[in-house]
Amino acid sequence: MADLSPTHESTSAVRPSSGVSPTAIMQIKNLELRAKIVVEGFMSGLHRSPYHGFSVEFTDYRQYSVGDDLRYLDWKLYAKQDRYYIKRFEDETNLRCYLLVDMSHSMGFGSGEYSKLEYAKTMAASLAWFLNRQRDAVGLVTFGDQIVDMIPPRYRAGHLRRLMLTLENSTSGKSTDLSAPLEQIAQTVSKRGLVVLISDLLAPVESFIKKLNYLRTRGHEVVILRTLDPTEIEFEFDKASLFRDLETGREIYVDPHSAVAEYRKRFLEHESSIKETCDQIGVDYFTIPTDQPLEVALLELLQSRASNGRSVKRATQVRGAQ
Amino acid sequence: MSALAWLFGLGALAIAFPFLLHLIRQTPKGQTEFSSLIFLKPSPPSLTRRSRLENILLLLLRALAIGLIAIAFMRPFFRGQNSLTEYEVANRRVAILIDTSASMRRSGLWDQAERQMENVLAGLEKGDDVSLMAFDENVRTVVDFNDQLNDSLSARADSIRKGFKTLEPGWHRSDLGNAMVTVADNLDVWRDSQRVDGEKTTVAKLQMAVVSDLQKGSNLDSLQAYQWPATVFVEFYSVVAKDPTNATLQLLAATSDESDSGLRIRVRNSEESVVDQFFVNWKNGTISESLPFFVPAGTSRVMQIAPEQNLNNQVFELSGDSEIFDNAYFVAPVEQQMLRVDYLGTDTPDNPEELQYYLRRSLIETPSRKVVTRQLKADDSLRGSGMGPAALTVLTSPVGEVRRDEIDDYLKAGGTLFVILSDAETVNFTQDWIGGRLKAKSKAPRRSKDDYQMLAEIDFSSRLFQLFANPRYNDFTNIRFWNHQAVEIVDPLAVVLARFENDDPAIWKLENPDRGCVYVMASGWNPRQSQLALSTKFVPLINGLVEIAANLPELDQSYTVGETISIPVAENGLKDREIVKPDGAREVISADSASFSQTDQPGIYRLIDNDKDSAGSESEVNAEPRGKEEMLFAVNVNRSESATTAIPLEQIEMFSVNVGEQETAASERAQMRSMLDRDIEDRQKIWKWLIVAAILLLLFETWLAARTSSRSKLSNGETVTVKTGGDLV
Repeated sequence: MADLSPTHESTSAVRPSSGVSPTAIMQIKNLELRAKIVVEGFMSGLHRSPYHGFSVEFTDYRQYSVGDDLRYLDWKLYAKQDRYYIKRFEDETNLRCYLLVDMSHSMGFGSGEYSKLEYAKTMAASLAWFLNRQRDAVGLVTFGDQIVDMIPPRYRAGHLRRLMLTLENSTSGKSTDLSAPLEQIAQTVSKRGLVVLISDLLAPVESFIKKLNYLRTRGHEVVILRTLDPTEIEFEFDKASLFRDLETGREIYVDPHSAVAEYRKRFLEHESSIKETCDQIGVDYFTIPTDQPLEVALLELLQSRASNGRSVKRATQVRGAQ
Repeated sequence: MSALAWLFGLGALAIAFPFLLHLIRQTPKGQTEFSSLIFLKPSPPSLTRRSRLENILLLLLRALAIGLIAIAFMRPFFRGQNSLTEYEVANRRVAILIDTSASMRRSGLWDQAERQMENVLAGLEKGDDVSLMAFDENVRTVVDFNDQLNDSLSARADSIRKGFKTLEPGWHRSDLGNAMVTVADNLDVWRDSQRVDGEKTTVAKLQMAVVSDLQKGSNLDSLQAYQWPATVFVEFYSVVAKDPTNATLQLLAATSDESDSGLRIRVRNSEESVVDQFFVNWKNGTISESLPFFVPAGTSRVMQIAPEQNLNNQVFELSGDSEIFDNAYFVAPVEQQMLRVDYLGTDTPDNPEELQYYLRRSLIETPSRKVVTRQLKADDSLRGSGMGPAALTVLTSPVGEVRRDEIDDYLKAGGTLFVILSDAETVNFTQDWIGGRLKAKSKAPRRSKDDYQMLAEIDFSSRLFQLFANPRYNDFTNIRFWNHQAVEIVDPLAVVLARFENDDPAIWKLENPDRGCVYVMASGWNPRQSQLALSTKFVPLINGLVEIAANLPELDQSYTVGETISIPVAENGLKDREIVKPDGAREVISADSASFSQTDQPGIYRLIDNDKDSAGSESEVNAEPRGKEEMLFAVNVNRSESATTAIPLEQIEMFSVNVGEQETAASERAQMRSMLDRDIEDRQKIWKWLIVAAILLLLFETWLAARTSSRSKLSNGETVTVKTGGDLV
């Protein structure tokens, strides 16, 4: 099982041995099928009911007073104790989750058989499938420098299928510009929910951190799943050559042997900067290299949800219990 | 040294190819795509040794081989002493024809014409003859070929330009066919004349350059019957108006079934018009507004316009299209003439059984004339009663010997006498004038109702019966003559206009230069004698006779520019008259001239008789019954000029006209030189030797390369890939 601590060192150093290999998963062309396999594999490992914890949960009792709804009277207790008690419940609202998938050109990079984008899409599909299975409302936003597609969160028949199709057919944008999509989400989404950002975050920290903070202040819970190719983390190249930026098209001549140390240093600085800022503003941050099994993302998400407690849950009492 | 195909010389540029390869290879070979370069810094690329040239000898050998092959493909040859002086090339004789018809007045066309003429001049070469001609209805030479025989090319062009400056579009219609035929004839005749002089002289090529708008109204009829000379070529330099919209208007004659409510105007829109809404009004007229008049492109519509009260207003104007040259239509105001018919007879005007009753009622008033009938009493004089002589004198019965001299005088002065022979006495009384006498056996008893004569043998070509010439109106069979005088014509000058069925003359005319004109009818028109007065033919017949007698011009006659106009002969036949043109210019017309042909602009022309004081005086017996100070007539632009759609060139080519341009001397010379060069090159065949040399060089190079390679192997002592030509190749 993967280390669940949200740090780069942990994810890169300890690779999970269990789970289905992402290379095998990516052989399957149908995105929906991929997601299904990932989630079901994940579920069989958990041996837990997906409905557990999301239904109406009992919390405590209180004395019956006149005018209370008799439907909530605990008749069994009355039989035992001959007193009227009203059951109090904690009503857990269904989660509203937005999956933000970065479709910029930089996501098209992949040193292996699949690109980061493919990985990110599968990850988003798996999350959507998983959440849908929990009867949560899932929405999707794909973006490059602008929002490409936007599907508001719903839980209804056919929604998941539409979401999968959009995810599958979405074309890539040009460059990574997180600020515009994040701002747009913050402005358009009024109901609080969970925002899962799947991106490589290969952009200056300042360009998006403000907007993340904005999302947080609007009451959203934000989780960042940073998808990175192992080569991007380690910069393992042999030959000196012209390196071309996939987003800007800029070309520079780089000798990897002389540049690797500097690269790693700057990469770590960038990452630690992101992490630090995320910690400050209460955003969960996970780095997921593309050679890791996709279930990890689900675990990361669940773990994030568990650690944050019930921040998006709204404790309400049943009207009859008031 | 020269070559047939210089372009193949570009093949020599292939020598630079190795060098270019070398330069390209300086850049790093591979390219790696990476997601983002934000964590990378450029490393300085390490220089390779590829900028150095190796094996220079091999390189030079190959460059030389490529160069030789390129030169071989250029097909080089040595020209030697061969030149073209022995070939004499004919120059061109170019006649520039400029259209100066009215349609060239359209906006921008004349400037275009000047530019097109410049194009023609730009194509001229030294030695070319050039002339400038202008055409509309006629062709006129502006600059002749012979005017500039010894001038240089630029001097010739200048004189053509000067000639063009003197031209401007006129108002005449264009007769393109006539112009082309005339110029082609001139050119062809000149060519024939040159041929006669010498046997082997090269005669100039004949070229006609027509600068025209080629509008559809241009008359091409002359080309139809013309055998176009094969030696004359025509190049058309068209000028095209920016706005194809053009409409024109025309005043139509009033129809009989129409009331006096309006004048009929026809508006015709050209085929390529983009506008279909026009307005027609009197120029500066009192009618304030005109309704829009919709005329789709290529059609014409007739509209009515209210008559103008202001008699001085003589111009209709069309508005709505951009071309104004044909937007005005001039109408000469019609002045009503007062005519008098003198009646010599004993019957009363109110007796429906007699002649005068019908005569008076038949003489109707028209816009151009008003007829007053006067029955001469015993003391009235034919010679005049302060009113001048009568236009027509009708004699129906013997009026006594006293009148005989008066009638003679009247006739001598050119008057017209109309004699109705209702009885034998009248025949006897008038036989001096009618040119005939009663037949011997003619007793002429009154015939029964079933015994009648009809008119046969009517001369419809005569002016009197011209009106009835149309088959719709020439049926005279329902007019029966119960009674007529059988007259035998004795005067050879008498012309019989109609006869009865029994061959007796019914109506005849006797025109004697000395004695005026006498019309005679052998029967009366009253119901007692015939059905003529009650038939539909009577009114037009009598009115026609009055108009012939008064010599009235035809109504609503509009002349076109360039048309010759018949004008009345001077009243006294002595003094010259003047015609004032619309622009105020005056033309003197000689006294005996009966026509005017200087109608070179549209508008109202005024004929002024300077001798007006003598006209109409009582003392003088004048043959012209209408003594006038001035006569107005309108001249308009020919309607064909308004058909501004361009003629397709194919239509002109259908007349076997050689459309195209004669080859210039320079291009002919170039063609000849090319042929000559090809011939020389074919004989020399230098390219073969060059190819052989290139092959030998390549063989040597291969041997050299192999040798160099084996040496380097030996010196290195290890297996090395053979580097042919170094890194540069």
